[in-house]
Amino acid sequence: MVEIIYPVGPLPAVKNAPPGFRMLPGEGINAAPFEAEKILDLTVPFGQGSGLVEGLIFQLGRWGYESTKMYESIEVSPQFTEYYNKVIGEKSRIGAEIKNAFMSVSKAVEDFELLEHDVRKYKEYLDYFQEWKKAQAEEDKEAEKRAMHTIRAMFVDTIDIHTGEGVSLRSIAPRWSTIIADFLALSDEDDTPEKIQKKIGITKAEAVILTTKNKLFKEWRDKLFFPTVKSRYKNLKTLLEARRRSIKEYIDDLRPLISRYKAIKEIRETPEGRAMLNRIAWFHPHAQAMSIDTYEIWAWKPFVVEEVFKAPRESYDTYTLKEAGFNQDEIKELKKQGKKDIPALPVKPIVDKWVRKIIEQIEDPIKGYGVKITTMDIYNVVKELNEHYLHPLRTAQQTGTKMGFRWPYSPYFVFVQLPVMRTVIKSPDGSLFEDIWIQPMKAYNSTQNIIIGRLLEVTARNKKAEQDISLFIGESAKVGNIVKKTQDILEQTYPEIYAEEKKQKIPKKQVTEKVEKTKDIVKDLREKIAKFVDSFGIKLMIAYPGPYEKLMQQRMTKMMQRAPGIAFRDIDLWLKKAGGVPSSVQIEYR
Amino acid sequence: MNKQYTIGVSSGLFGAAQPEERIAYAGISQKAFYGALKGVEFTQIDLESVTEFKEPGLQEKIKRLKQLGIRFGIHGESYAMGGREVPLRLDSAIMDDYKRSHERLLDSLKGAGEIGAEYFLLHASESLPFLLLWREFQPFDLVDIWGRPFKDFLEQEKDWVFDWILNQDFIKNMRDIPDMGYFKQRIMERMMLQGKKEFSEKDLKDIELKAKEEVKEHIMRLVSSNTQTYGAERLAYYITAKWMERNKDPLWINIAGENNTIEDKEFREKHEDKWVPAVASKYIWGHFNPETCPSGQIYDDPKQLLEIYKLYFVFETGMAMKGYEKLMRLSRPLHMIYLSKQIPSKYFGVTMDFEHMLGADIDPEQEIKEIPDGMASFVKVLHLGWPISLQPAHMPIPAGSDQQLYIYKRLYELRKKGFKSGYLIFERGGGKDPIQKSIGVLRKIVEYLEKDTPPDKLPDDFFGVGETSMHSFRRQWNIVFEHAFDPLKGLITHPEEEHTFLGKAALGRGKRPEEWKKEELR
Repeated sequence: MVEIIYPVGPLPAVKNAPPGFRMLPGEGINAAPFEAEKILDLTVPFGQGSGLVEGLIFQLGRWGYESTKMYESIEVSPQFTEYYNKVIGEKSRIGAEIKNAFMSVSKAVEDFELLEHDVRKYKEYLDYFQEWKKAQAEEDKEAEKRAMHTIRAMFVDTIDIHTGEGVSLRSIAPRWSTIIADFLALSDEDDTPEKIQKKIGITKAEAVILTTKNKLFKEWRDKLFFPTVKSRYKNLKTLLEARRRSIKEYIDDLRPLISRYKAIKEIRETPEGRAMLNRIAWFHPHAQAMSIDTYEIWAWKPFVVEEVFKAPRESYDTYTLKEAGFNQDEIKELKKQGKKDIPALPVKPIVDKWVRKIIEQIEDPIKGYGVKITTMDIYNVVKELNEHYLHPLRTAQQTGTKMGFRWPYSPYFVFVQLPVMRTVIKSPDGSLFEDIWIQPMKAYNSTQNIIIGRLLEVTARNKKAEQDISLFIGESAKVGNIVKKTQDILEQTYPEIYAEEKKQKIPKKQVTEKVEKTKDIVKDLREKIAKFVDSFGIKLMIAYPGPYEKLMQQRMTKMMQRAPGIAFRDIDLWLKKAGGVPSSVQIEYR
Repeated sequence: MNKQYTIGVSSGLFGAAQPEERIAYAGISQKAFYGALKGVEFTQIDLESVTEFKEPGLQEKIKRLKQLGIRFGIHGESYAMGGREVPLRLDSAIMDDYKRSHERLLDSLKGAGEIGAEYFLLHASESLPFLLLWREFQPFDLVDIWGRPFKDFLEQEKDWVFDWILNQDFIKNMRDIPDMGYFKQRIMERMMLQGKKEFSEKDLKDIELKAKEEVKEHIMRLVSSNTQTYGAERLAYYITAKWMERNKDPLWINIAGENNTIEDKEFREKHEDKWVPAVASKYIWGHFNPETCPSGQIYDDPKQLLEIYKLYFVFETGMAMKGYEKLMRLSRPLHMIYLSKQIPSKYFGVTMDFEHMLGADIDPEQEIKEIPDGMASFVKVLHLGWPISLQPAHMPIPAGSDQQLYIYKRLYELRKKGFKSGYLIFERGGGKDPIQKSIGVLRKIVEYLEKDTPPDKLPDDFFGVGETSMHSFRRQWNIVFEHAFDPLKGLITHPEEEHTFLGKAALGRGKRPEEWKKEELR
């Protein structure tokens, strides 16, 4: 089960963050106002609950939020037959379809391999004939002889041998020890015993035998073997290419199937999910028709702290890769991809230690997604964010139509987190109702680095889905807990064979890593000092020279947290209203 | 046109057969049938013991075989067939050997004749080479060429022989042949014991005469005694050689050379390949001409048996064991031709066995060259096989081989010198298929020999690859066609044409693969 811990901060305002995930002032913000956190449970007639959530998602877009869904899973009780068949039954059906598709792929691959085997063999012969024909055209007798040598040898070993004891060249070689060599030395023009005797200097008896054998060889080669090899190679090659194409088609057809299959994720797939279902008091899947589906809605948009006099701020179109926080290896990697700089975001460095901390967790094969976040993934996320700050016509899509308003150029975001549990219950009388349980409904003030982390998790989720497909179709394999591409496994296992052309470089100890480590030590020291002083009741804040807001007491609580608070209020009100909660019971936000 | 040459095979030996095959070689009648299974009508029965003629019911069995058209000849006993004794030593001057051999010869010829064999073949000489006699412990009980006690021969030739002996150091140097000085001294000592103190010239002359007498007596006693010494036989050979030389014996003239004399040290020591065969031939001649013995016939005449049974007696070069090459007493077919010529009967001839000749260091090509024109008519039998000097090889003759061509060339040369008819016998060896294609090869040889085709004009057919030959292009092409795509075997997506194009259809109609395999080339 994925469990990414996002850094919390700044300290000391947020105290309950786990060690190692506490951001100091200036390093970033990821904190929800105390008021912007609640449980919302709306029980509504069947159909309304889904509409409510879907409606909110559309509404969030109108308010300028980008949104996505995360951590989907479902449970349908078998008693809920029609729904069960549609969801879980569908999953089984897709599973069977995948199996069949795999059989097709397997068959196609098998056919391909067999064909390839045959083509290789025919090609080998055809190569000799090609060499022979070329030598003939160039009137190069030596080359002609060389090319024919193998064909002649083949004739001796596989064809003539059947002419029997005392007749085949192989069987008479013991008494004419040079007869095979003599036969190999013949050419097409050697068609009489006299010519052969003169050419090789052998007895008449041997020359007579060789004359016959040479004639047999020519007839076999020109009337049977060569024409057959020629036409069969053509046929086989055509079949092979067709089969190659069909394998690709079959595999490509598999991808959406697998994706669909994996998309139906059952809550019971994980121990935590099973524990949860067992714990819920009202959930009686075998006695009553009910279903639960869970997911988390993430929505984010930047905000600007309202100030009377806003300090002018210089903005850039791009940053150098170094400015953006990439290390030397990452820069090299990006340059290989043709990226010399990166679209600018309000704050640099874009890739700071917290972004790296999140990436580290995402890449973790047990608690994370077990996928590699590449520099290009980071680049793409940054580019995507950047485009929201641009005039619509300057974006990659270059269209003037864009949902919501143009984002203010700010590194501070409202990040809304809505973990939804939607329950559908069919009561024994046949009536249906839905329950939308959101716990905790929360709105954060998150800085640019945290949002980048969130977007990288979204990227990882997508990559994981592709990786699952890739595992399914064998392009990747799991080695322990780590998923590796099959080609990479081969290169690691047999580097001299599969990575022959790649120079295996031992990565240098990163200087930047050292620097990061030193910074961590200093930070830990600061935290310890702050904690120690705090125990005496003295509030101590050591500001980190980061790019984000540092004045906690003065600006954070008084000004910055208003934005997530207001956002939370708007969403809360919208949901309640849509859920039909009477206004009299609604809490008024001040 | 009558066939000029009869092709046959040798039967093989009971003693060399595997236990499970022995039944096929259990006696003459079984052996005679061997050729019937090998595509020939003639078998050369390898006689392992003269006692084989005592096989119960042999005559009746042979009669039935003859009704089947089976013909045969006999290869007489040979040291090479096993056993610890040379069964027939016709060239021996030892009384016991001579006697035993002659009796065995008569038994063999009688046996062969009674069952209707067409020839009786014997290795001309298997005795210990003359050069090696010095280490052979032999009795002095010698015989002359007719088998008489050698003393009778000496008595007959006394006018010259003792004087001659006493003048030949190479004889006097033999052990037990004392020189004159010894006898003179003995006589003088005896005289001194009787009181003689001085010896006049007359005394010395008397002593000389007396010593001669004593020597003569001593030699006469010696050659009829059982005294044993190293190489006693040599004495008979030396004296017989001189006798032949003095009488201008045709065998001496033809084999040793008219102008050569045994007294010539160089000739005697360096040309044992000439004078020894001459003497050996004479001893053999003696066995076959007993009626010419000056003191009356002692032994029965084998010639009469040959006449009665119309049985050819053919001499063959014996198999020279390692170390005996060049040394055999009588190994050259040319010498045997001379010998045959000297026996007054048309039933004598020679077998040429290229393998044995090569093994005895005789070059068949050169030997045939030396045969005077027309005299190859004495060649009655050819033992054929892969010509090789290592023996016993008895290897098959491959079709279309250098060996086939070699044999043809020699036979062609022989034919030009008079070999117009005879038996061509493939002498088989062991193994599962000891003959292979040899008979087919011999048939081709005969076919073109009878057509008098010069070796350089032999067509493809001779080599088995002519239009209608056993390994013709068409026949081989059928096989090539059948296996044309064997290099593509192991292919998976394209069917393998294991049973030819037609075979696939045959298999499709329910024919089993192995059945189709049998039918396809019909």
